[in-house]
Amino acid sequence: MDDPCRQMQDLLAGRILGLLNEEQASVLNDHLSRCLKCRKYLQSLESENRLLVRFSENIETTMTVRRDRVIQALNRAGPTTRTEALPMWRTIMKSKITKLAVAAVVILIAIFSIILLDRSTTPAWAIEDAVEALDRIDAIYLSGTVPKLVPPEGPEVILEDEKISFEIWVKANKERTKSGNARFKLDNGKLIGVIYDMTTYSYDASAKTVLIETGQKLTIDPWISRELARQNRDFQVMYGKDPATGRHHALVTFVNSAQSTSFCVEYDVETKLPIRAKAWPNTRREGVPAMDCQRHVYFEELPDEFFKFEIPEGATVIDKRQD
Amino acid sequence: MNDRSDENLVAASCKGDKAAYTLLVKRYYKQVFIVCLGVVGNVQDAEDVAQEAMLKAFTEISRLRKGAQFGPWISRIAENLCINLVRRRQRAKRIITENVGQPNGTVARNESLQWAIGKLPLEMRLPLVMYYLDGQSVKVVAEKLDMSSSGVYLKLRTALNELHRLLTEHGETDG
Repeated sequence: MDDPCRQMQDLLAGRILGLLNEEQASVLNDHLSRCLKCRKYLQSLESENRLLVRFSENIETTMTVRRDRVIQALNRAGPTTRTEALPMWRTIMKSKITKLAVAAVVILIAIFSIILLDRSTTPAWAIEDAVEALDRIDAIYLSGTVPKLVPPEGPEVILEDEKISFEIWVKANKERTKSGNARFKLDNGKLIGVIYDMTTYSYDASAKTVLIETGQKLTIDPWISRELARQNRDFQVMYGKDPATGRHHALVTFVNSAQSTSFCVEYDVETKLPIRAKAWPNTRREGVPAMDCQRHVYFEELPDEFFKFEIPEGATVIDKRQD
Repeated sequence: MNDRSDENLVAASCKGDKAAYTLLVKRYYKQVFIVCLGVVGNVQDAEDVAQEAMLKAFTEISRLRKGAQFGPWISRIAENLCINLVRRRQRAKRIITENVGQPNGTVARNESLQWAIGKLPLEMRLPLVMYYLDGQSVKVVAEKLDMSSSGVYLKLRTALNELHRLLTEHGETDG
């Protein structure tokens, strides 16, 4: 097709769609009266349009049959176990920082499977022991991935392969009721920030902008507690060998009933350190995990100086702190 | 069609009322199927995923806070299920159109059309399928895809030309 004809292709398609204005229609008609190739092209498009219309009509006529199959399947299914609404998972959509907070809460919950590696213990005793052991923990470092996008009303179907990396250092507040100071890095450093002394500083690397806001924009609430631990149930432990390293490892699975969340945590038996943890936003470990944590480090003490924020050179500062 | 509101039906479905949810299926199945066909590109997969989405939504419906948002919510579930399916197949290097097979002159023209639709890029396929299956209105497609009417028009125009190229290359046009 010649160049002037190529330019007509869009107008020809527009004519099929019935969306040409008067001027475009006139230009096209003028061209068609002189060009056999474009007349043939138009005939082809009209033929394909008829095919598409017939194809749609065929689908339309069988739509009720398809729909009725769904209704039959619905009726065949037994009573469903419906999960309650999950405030924690809902918040995952709000911002990257809240995604991070959710991931961290989930990991804190996951910590309560550690002590089960001792085969002789029962879950109830183990939880008490774990809380006591973790009472000494002042701060935690976590890294892993969270989904980039989830549906607006919750994580019913999470998209595979679209993840945001995260790193977070978070310290308990003085009362040890929830988190206090924190430092975080998201999406390979595209967003980095600090929470220090009830102020949040976040640096958007692409916009080279620092936003300073009053309050903690990332809070892990509650911190490690017996209440959090008691929500976990249905523990199962499987022992095996990591084929790659030959080291003994253990897979602990359990459910957190309060958050309708299920877990699989992998531990190195010798060091008793978690190797990785995954969490699903349902009680069946189904679908794509909503959190995948590859590294945890526990600190008995992490100095507050670690959380001080330095404004990067050349960054624009937007200070939204209330007076 | 029953005139109970979506909100009312969602509230009843949350309590396990299958009759109420059946009314939602009747109301939204076509919308869900069109989204699935637009993403996966073939009728059989679209039917399977549309069913999976409708059944999954019933088990998860108590997570939906605003019943009036059932339509966008179920569409999003269906779309994400489709995207996951397509990606799993791509990972397994079994691209969806290869399953259908490249048609030749002896294959029914309807199958050729399906094959060609499956070959279109997603950003063209979804508006095209929605346009032809949902009343041939650019405005309706634009609203559902949260795009401008001119944006949808451009996609449709390009899709028609691309579809012509695919069918012509395989000798399936009678123009």
